[in-house]
Amino acid sequence: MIRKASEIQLKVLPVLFGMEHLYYYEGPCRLVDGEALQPGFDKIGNEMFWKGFLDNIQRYMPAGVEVLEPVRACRTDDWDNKEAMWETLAQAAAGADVAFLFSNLGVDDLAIEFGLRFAVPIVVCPTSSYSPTQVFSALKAKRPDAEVYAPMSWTRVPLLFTALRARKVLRNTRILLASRGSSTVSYASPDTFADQDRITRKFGVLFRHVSIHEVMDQMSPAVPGGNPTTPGRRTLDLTEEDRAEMERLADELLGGAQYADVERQYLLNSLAAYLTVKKHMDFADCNAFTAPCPDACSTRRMNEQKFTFCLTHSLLNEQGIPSACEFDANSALSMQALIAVSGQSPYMGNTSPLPYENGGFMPLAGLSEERKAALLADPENLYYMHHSVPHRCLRRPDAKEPYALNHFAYEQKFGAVLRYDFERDRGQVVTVCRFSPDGEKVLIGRGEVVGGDGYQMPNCRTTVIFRVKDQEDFYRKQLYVGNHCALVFGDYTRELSALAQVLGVEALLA
Amino acid sequence: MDAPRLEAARARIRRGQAAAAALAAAAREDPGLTRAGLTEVLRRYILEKFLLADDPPGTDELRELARQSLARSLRMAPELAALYDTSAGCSSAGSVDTKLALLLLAAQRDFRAHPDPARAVRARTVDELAGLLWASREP
Repeated sequence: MIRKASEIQLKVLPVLFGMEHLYYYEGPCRLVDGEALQPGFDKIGNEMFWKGFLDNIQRYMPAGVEVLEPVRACRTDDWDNKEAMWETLAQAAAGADVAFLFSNLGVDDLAIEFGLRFAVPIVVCPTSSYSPTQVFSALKAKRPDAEVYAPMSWTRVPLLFTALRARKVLRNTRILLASRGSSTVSYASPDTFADQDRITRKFGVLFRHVSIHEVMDQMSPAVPGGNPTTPGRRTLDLTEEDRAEMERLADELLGGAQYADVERQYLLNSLAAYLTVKKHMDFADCNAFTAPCPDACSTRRMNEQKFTFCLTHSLLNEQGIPSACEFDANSALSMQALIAVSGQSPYMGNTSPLPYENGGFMPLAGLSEERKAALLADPENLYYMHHSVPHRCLRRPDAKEPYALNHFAYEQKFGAVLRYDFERDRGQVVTVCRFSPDGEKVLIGRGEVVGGDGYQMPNCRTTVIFRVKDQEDFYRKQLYVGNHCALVFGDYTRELSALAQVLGVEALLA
Repeated sequence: MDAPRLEAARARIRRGQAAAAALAAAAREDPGLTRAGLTEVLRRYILEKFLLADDPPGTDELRELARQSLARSLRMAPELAALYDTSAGCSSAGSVDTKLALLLLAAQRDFRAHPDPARAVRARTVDELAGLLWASREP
């Protein structure tokens, strides 16, 4: 099963602590007057507090949060603290990702004890009297590793829960890596996660591996006796249903393209790769994918089978399933982080500054001379990102933008690739993201699109050019994370910064 | 505030509380009281309690009635607001919430009913609250 980020919900348990006075009396623990001093008032008063708390939860919870049935935990002025209450709370907490506590005068000790007893992260209601500072400080002193948050006001709550949900998405990310040689680092992306165990410990993401030779063997119907790499085994080879789906997708893609410069058979070959990969992801319960480019290319099998994985990445990405080229699991996870905080479907690619020096731009790869010439009118602080994995849902996850089909290989013209024209997006704000190879830092960049390039071109040439605030500052920070950045439309720098905070990752803001 | 005006305000509050209590007592003793009748009595009871009977606002929303009552009492005698209300103190409750909580406490006592507090605080209108009181009356 492919469990997309959009299907992953953060389960939030409202925990309602309350105090009931059993008698009429006044003194330094009674801070009300009139009928509010009478027995019975607190039962109603607590419900009134909790109603306000629960109403605010409904109002301020971001998308992707499931609010669980609230659990009540009351005590009286006998200062009772019963194990039966904790058993109820333990049961409720077991099904939650986060506990959102309503505390108050007279029950803050219970909120603190909740944090000592249970491992679930705690958020303290921002308007519950003096509880945020009391509970946070006391709990941290008693249990320094307790995960407790105390937002200052309700308007700060959505950002925190967006970040906590995004962290859950990363924890539930399962990346399928189709490897040839090394199962961690390819020849083209040495800046990916070199130590996958460390990344698993840090983020919870798991890495699943499959031989790229087995995958490529399975891009055709089953043969008697099994495939060469797995003789005698039943494998996920192309079925009649797959072939019908390939034809349907080819019709759809060719029918909707602004232009198509790829033969139908080559398009079908690339679609065979897409469906084979998708079956493997489904089988391995993965929700992200990457495959090598140069390592696989040099097997000569892509040349023999006349396909590339570009279209696989594009079609997965437009469904909100991160898929990165060049065996870059780092890029796939960075895309997943963007998906989790934005709900958008990202792009990824080689990301470089475009330094303007001595009256011109440095001759970097991937950008046409015509485009460089056009950029000379306003050449400062430019960056560009290029690759061959754009898709139709870059602007909105639920609507397809105009696109074209081209080929990847210049001479033989195989390898179907989608084309998207970033020229249409001038003035759009973009957010750029990539983790460092050790997972300790994350680049969080903001830019504004100034144009695109490569819409009519084959190969790895779909380019988005954007202006950043300070090119050199951006570059110095990018040095710590690497090449393949992920990108979405919109400004999600606050959300990513909040995610970095709950992950314990240093945010490199640019 | 000058002493005569303060005393007049106190008297007005006492009159409102007494009128509300009398309405509830009559309803309790009325064997022919219907569900719709309780809604009408409760409406008048709340207007008296909230000192809104002289000039009833055109709303049945409990929260709006509490809001208007607070505004009116503050205009009448700010110092006395606490006499029939209560200060929020450290409880983090707003004045409107507290006023509504006090109303619920008084209503369940005066009408001898025991609605589930969690449902009672979610009653939006006079009629919804009357429904909860009607369903939980003492025999």
